[in-house]
Amino acid sequence: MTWWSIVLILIWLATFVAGQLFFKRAMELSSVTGFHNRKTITFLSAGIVLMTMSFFLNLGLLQRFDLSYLYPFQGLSIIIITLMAAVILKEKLTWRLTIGTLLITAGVVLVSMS
Amino acid sequence: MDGKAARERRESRETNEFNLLLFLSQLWSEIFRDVSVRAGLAYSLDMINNRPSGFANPWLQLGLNIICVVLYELLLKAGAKATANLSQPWSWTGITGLASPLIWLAIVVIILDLMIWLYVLKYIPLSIAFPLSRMVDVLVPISCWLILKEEISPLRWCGIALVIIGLAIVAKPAARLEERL
Repeated sequence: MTWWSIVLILIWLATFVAGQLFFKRAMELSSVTGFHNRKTITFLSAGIVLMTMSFFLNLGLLQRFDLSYLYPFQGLSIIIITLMAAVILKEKLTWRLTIGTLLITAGVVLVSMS
Repeated sequence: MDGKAARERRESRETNEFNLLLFLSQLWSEIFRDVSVRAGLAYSLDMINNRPSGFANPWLQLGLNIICVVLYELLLKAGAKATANLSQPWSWTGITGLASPLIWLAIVVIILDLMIWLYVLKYIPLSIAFPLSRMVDVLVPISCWLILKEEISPLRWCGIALVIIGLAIVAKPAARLEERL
Protein backbone atom coordinates (compact mmCIF):
# COMPACT_ATOMS: atom_id res chain seq x y z
CA MET A 1 0.00 0.00 0.00
CA THR A 2 1.68 3.16 -1.20
CA TRP A 3 0.92 6.76 -0.33
CA TRP A 4 -0.50 7.06 -3.85
CA SER A 5 -3.26 4.53 -3.16
CA ILE A 6 -4.12 6.35 0.08
CA VAL A 7 -4.46 9.58 -1.90
CA LEU A 8 -6.67 7.79 -4.44
CA ILE A 9 -8.88 6.36 -1.68
CA LEU A 10 -9.21 9.83 -0.11
CA ILE A 11 -10.12 11.43 -3.46
CA TRP A 12 -12.63 8.63 -4.05
CA LEU A 13 -14.24 9.29 -0.64
CA ALA A 14 -14.24 13.08 -1.10
CA THR A 15 -15.86 12.95 -4.57
CA PHE A 16 -18.42 10.43 -3.32
CA VAL A 17 -19.42 12.51 -0.28
CA ALA A 18 -19.51 15.80 -2.23
CA GLY A 19 -21.61 14.17 -4.97
CA GLN A 20 -24.18 12.96 -2.43
CA LEU A 21 -24.41 16.42 -0.86
CA PHE A 22 -24.92 18.05 -4.27
CA PHE A 23 -27.65 15.52 -5.10
CA LYS A 24 -29.53 16.18 -1.90
CA ARG A 25 -29.28 19.95 -2.36
CA ALA A 26 -30.48 19.70 -5.97
CA MET A 27 -33.48 17.59 -5.00
CA GLU A 28 -34.34 19.98 -2.16
CA LEU A 29 -34.31 22.86 -4.64
CA SER A 30 -36.29 20.91 -7.23
CA SER A 31 -39.13 20.27 -4.79
CA VAL A 32 -39.42 24.04 -4.27
CA THR A 33 -38.77 25.47 -7.72
CA GLY A 34 -38.95 22.49 -10.08
CA PHE A 35 -36.28 21.37 -12.52
CA HIS A 36 -36.40 24.46 -14.72
CA ASN A 37 -34.04 26.27 -12.43
CA ARG A 38 -30.45 27.08 -13.19
CA LYS A 39 -29.26 26.34 -9.64
CA THR A 40 -30.97 22.94 -9.54
CA ILE A 41 -29.42 21.93 -12.86
CA THR A 42 -25.98 23.18 -11.77
CA PHE A 43 -26.08 21.22 -8.51
CA LEU A 44 -27.41 18.12 -10.28
CA SER A 45 -24.70 18.19 -12.95
CA ALA A 46 -22.01 18.85 -10.34
CA GLY A 47 -23.28 15.80 -8.46
CA ILE A 48 -23.26 13.65 -11.60
CA VAL A 49 -19.71 14.74 -12.54
CA LEU A 50 -18.43 13.99 -9.01
CA MET A 51 -20.21 10.62 -8.85
CA THR A 52 -18.78 9.67 -12.26
CA MET A 53 -15.28 10.51 -11.01
CA SER A 54 -15.81 8.46 -7.85
CA PHE A 55 -17.19 5.59 -9.97
CA PHE A 56 -14.06 5.33 -12.11
CA LEU A 57 -11.74 5.76 -9.13
CA ASN A 58 -13.66 2.99 -7.37
CA LEU A 59 -13.22 0.78 -10.43
CA GLY A 60 -9.49 1.48 -10.51
CA LEU A 61 -9.23 0.67 -6.80
CA LEU A 62 -11.27 -2.53 -7.20
CA GLN A 63 -8.79 -3.73 -9.83
CA ARG A 64 -5.99 -3.20 -7.32
CA PHE A 65 -7.43 -4.25 -3.97
CA ASP A 66 -9.86 -6.76 -2.50
CA LEU A 67 -13.42 -5.59 -2.00
CA SER A 68 -13.03 -6.55 1.66
CA TYR A 69 -10.06 -4.18 1.97
CA LEU A 70 -11.99 -1.27 0.45
CA TYR A 71 -15.16 -1.85 2.44
CA PRO A 72 -14.03 -0.23 5.72
CA PHE A 73 -13.43 3.00 3.78
CA GLN A 74 -16.95 2.77 2.43
CA GLY A 75 -18.06 2.35 6.05
CA LEU A 76 -16.22 5.57 6.82
CA SER A 77 -18.34 7.35 4.22
CA ILE A 78 -21.46 6.71 6.36
CA ILE A 79 -19.99 8.76 9.21
CA ILE A 80 -18.69 11.50 6.93
CA ILE A 81 -21.98 11.86 5.02
CA THR A 82 -24.13 11.93 8.17
CA LEU A 83 -21.81 14.53 9.69
CA MET A 84 -21.73 16.65 6.51
CA ALA A 85 -25.52 16.46 6.14
CA ALA A 86 -25.80 17.89 9.65
CA VAL A 87 -23.17 20.59 9.15
CA ILE A 88 -23.77 21.71 5.55
CA LEU A 89 -27.40 20.80 4.89
CA LYS A 90 -28.44 21.63 8.50
CA GLU A 91 -30.21 18.31 8.96
CA LYS A 92 -31.10 17.46 12.53
CA LEU A 93 -28.57 15.07 14.06
CA THR A 94 -30.02 13.28 17.09
CA TRP A 95 -28.06 11.15 19.56
CA ARG A 96 -29.99 8.16 18.33
CA LEU A 97 -28.94 8.77 14.74
CA THR A 98 -25.30 9.27 15.80
CA ILE A 99 -25.16 6.03 17.81
CA GLY A 100 -26.94 4.07 15.05
CA THR A 101 -24.53 5.41 12.44
CA LEU A 102 -21.48 4.54 14.59
CA LEU A 103 -22.82 1.00 15.14
CA ILE A 104 -23.36 0.49 11.38
CA THR A 105 -19.82 1.68 10.70
CA ALA A 106 -18.35 -0.59 13.39
CA GLY A 107 -20.32 -3.48 11.90
CA VAL A 108 -19.07 -2.77 8.37
CA VAL A 109 -15.47 -2.67 9.64
CA LEU A 110 -15.93 -5.98 11.52
CA VAL A 111 -17.47 -7.64 8.44
CA SER A 112 -14.55 -6.63 6.26
CA MET A 113 -11.91 -7.52 8.88
CA SER A 114 -13.06 -11.12 9.20
CA MET B 1 -104.44 53.16 18.16
CA ASP B 2 -104.57 49.40 18.25
CA GLY B 3 -103.48 49.11 14.64
CA LYS B 4 -100.44 51.31 15.20
CA ALA B 5 -99.18 49.27 18.17
CA ALA B 6 -99.67 46.04 16.23
CA ARG B 7 -97.73 47.42 13.27
CA GLU B 8 -94.88 48.53 15.53
CA ARG B 9 -94.75 45.09 17.16
CA ARG B 10 -94.70 43.43 13.76
CA GLU B 11 -91.98 45.75 12.53
CA SER B 12 -89.79 45.12 15.53
CA ARG B 13 -90.32 41.35 15.15
CA GLU B 14 -89.33 41.58 11.51
CA THR B 15 -86.23 43.53 12.45
CA ASN B 16 -85.33 40.88 15.00
CA GLU B 17 -85.87 38.13 12.47
CA PHE B 18 -83.75 39.99 9.97
CA ASN B 19 -80.96 40.43 12.51
CA LEU B 20 -81.12 36.75 13.45
CA LEU B 21 -80.96 35.77 9.79
CA LEU B 22 -78.05 38.10 9.23
CA PHE B 23 -76.25 36.67 12.25
CA LEU B 24 -76.87 33.07 11.13
CA SER B 25 -75.69 33.75 7.61
CA GLN B 26 -72.55 35.43 8.93
CA LEU B 27 -71.93 32.52 11.30
CA TRP B 28 -72.48 30.02 8.51
CA SER B 29 -70.13 31.79 6.11
CA GLU B 30 -67.55 32.03 8.91
CA ILE B 31 -67.77 28.30 9.61
CA PHE B 32 -67.84 27.44 5.94
CA ARG B 33 -64.85 29.64 5.24
CA ASP B 34 -62.98 28.07 8.13
CA VAL B 35 -63.74 24.57 6.86
CA SER B 36 -62.83 25.38 3.28
CA VAL B 37 -59.61 27.14 4.37
CA ARG B 38 -58.70 24.14 6.50
CA ALA B 39 -59.42 21.73 3.66
CA GLY B 40 -57.40 23.83 1.25
CA LEU B 41 -54.54 24.08 3.72
CA ALA B 42 -54.51 20.33 4.34
CA TYR B 43 -54.50 19.72 0.59
CA SER B 44 -51.65 22.13 -0.07
CA LEU B 45 -49.69 20.70 2.89
CA ASP B 46 -50.11 17.26 1.31
CA MET B 47 -48.79 18.74 -1.92
CA ILE B 48 -45.78 20.21 -0.11
CA ASN B 49 -44.98 17.20 2.07
CA ASN B 50 -46.07 15.01 -0.79
CA ARG B 51 -46.50 11.62 0.71
CA PRO B 52 -46.97 9.49 -2.37
CA SER B 53 -48.39 6.05 -1.72
CA GLY B 54 -48.13 2.67 -3.42
CA PHE B 55 -45.20 2.19 -5.79
CA ALA B 56 -44.25 5.86 -5.48
CA ASN B 57 -43.71 5.50 -1.71
CA PRO B 58 -40.16 6.80 -1.00
CA TRP B 59 -39.44 4.03 1.55
CA LEU B 60 -40.32 1.36 -1.02
CA GLN B 61 -38.06 3.16 -3.50
CA LEU B 62 -35.27 3.13 -0.89
CA GLY B 63 -35.68 -0.67 -0.79
CA LEU B 64 -35.43 -0.83 -4.59
CA ASN B 65 -32.31 1.36 -4.41
CA ILE B 66 -30.71 -1.14 -2.00
CA ILE B 67 -31.45 -4.06 -4.36
CA CYS B 68 -29.89 -2.10 -7.25
CA VAL B 69 -26.75 -1.34 -5.20
CA VAL B 70 -26.25 -5.02 -4.24
CA LEU B 71 -26.65 -5.96 -7.90
CA TYR B 72 -24.17 -3.42 -9.27
CA GLU B 73 -21.58 -3.99 -6.52
CA LEU B 74 -21.41 -7.67 -7.49
CA LEU B 75 -21.33 -6.81 -11.23
CA LEU B 76 -18.56 -4.23 -10.69
CA LYS B 77 -16.35 -6.58 -8.69
CA ALA B 78 -16.79 -9.35 -11.27
CA GLY B 79 -16.04 -6.90 -14.12
CA ALA B 80 -13.05 -5.37 -12.36
CA LYS B 81 -11.59 -8.81 -11.66
CA ALA B 82 -11.96 -9.80 -15.30
CA THR B 83 -10.20 -6.69 -16.61
CA ALA B 84 -7.49 -6.24 -13.95
CA ASN B 85 -4.30 -5.50 -15.85
CA LEU B 86 -2.20 -3.25 -13.68
CA SER B 87 0.63 -2.85 -16.17
CA GLN B 88 -1.40 -0.49 -18.35
CA PRO B 89 -0.50 3.17 -17.73
CA TRP B 90 -4.06 4.47 -17.22
CA SER B 91 -5.30 1.52 -15.16
CA TRP B 92 -5.58 3.53 -11.94
CA THR B 93 -8.38 5.62 -13.44
CA GLY B 94 -10.46 2.46 -13.81
CA ILE B 95 -11.07 3.30 -17.47
CA THR B 96 -9.74 -0.13 -18.53
CA GLY B 97 -12.75 -1.66 -16.78
CA LEU B 98 -14.94 -0.49 -19.67
CA ALA B 99 -13.63 -3.44 -21.70
CA SER B 100 -15.87 -5.74 -19.70
CA PRO B 101 -19.58 -6.10 -20.67
CA LEU B 102 -20.32 -6.69 -16.99
CA ILE B 103 -19.18 -3.13 -16.26
CA TRP B 104 -21.54 -1.76 -18.90
CA LEU B 105 -24.41 -3.76 -17.39
CA ALA B 106 -23.41 -2.33 -14.01
CA ILE B 107 -23.49 1.20 -15.47
CA VAL B 108 -27.07 0.65 -16.66
CA VAL B 109 -28.06 -0.50 -13.16
CA ILE B 110 -26.21 2.48 -11.65
CA ILE B 111 -28.11 4.97 -13.82
CA LEU B 112 -31.40 3.33 -12.86
CA ASP B 113 -30.30 3.39 -9.23
CA LEU B 114 -29.31 7.07 -9.49
CA MET B 115 -32.80 8.03 -10.61
CA ILE B 116 -34.36 6.02 -7.77
CA TRP B 117 -31.88 7.55 -5.29
CA LEU B 118 -32.65 11.12 -6.42
CA TYR B 119 -36.34 10.39 -5.94
CA VAL B 120 -35.65 9.07 -2.42
CA LEU B 121 -33.59 12.18 -1.57
CA LYS B 122 -36.54 14.36 -2.51
CA TYR B 123 -38.48 13.05 0.48
CA ILE B 124 -36.04 11.60 3.04
CA PRO B 125 -33.19 13.52 4.80
CA LEU B 126 -29.72 12.42 3.67
CA SER B 127 -28.61 11.71 7.25
CA ILE B 128 -31.36 9.05 7.50
CA ALA B 129 -31.51 7.73 3.93
CA PHE B 130 -27.77 7.13 3.56
CA PRO B 131 -27.16 5.01 6.70
CA LEU B 132 -30.28 2.98 5.85
CA SER B 133 -29.03 2.45 2.30
CA ARG B 134 -25.90 0.80 3.78
CA MET B 135 -28.11 -2.19 4.50
CA VAL B 136 -26.23 -3.56 1.47
CA ASP B 137 -23.25 -4.18 3.76
CA VAL B 138 -25.35 -6.85 5.42
CA LEU B 139 -27.17 -8.10 2.34
CA VAL B 140 -24.03 -8.75 0.28
CA PRO B 141 -22.36 -11.19 2.75
CA ILE B 142 -25.70 -12.82 3.60
CA SER B 143 -26.52 -13.36 -0.07
CA CYS B 144 -23.01 -14.80 -0.54
CA TRP B 145 -23.75 -17.16 2.35
CA LEU B 146 -27.20 -18.16 1.04
CA ILE B 147 -26.56 -18.32 -2.70
CA LEU B 148 -22.84 -18.97 -3.09
CA LYS B 149 -22.63 -21.12 0.09
CA GLU B 150 -19.68 -19.08 1.33
CA GLU B 151 -18.59 -19.50 4.93
CA ILE B 152 -19.24 -16.63 7.35
CA SER B 153 -16.93 -16.49 10.38
CA PRO B 154 -18.27 -15.70 13.88
CA LEU B 155 -16.55 -12.29 13.77
CA ARG B 156 -18.32 -11.49 10.52
CA TRP B 157 -21.67 -12.55 12.02
CA CYS B 158 -20.93 -10.14 14.91
CA GLY B 159 -20.31 -7.35 12.39
CA ILE B 160 -23.58 -8.15 10.59
CA ALA B 161 -25.42 -8.09 13.92
CA LEU B 162 -23.90 -4.68 14.75
CA VAL B 163 -25.02 -3.26 11.40
CA ILE B 164 -28.56 -4.58 11.93
CA ILE B 165 -28.75 -3.05 15.44
CA GLY B 166 -27.44 0.25 14.05
CA LEU B 167 -30.00 0.16 11.22
CA ALA B 168 -32.81 -0.45 13.71
CA ILE B 169 -31.65 2.54 15.77
CA VAL B 170 -31.43 4.80 12.71
CA ALA B 171 -34.81 3.60 11.43
CA LYS B 172 -36.56 4.73 14.63
CA PRO B 173 -36.17 8.49 14.01
CA ALA B 174 -37.18 7.73 10.43
CA ALA B 175 -40.48 6.34 11.72
CA ARG B 176 -40.97 9.47 13.80
CA LEU B 177 -40.26 11.60 10.73
CA GLU B 178 -42.98 9.71 8.88
CA GLU B 179 -45.45 10.47 11.68
CA ARG B 180 -44.62 14.17 11.63
CA LEU B 181 -45.24 14.56 7.91
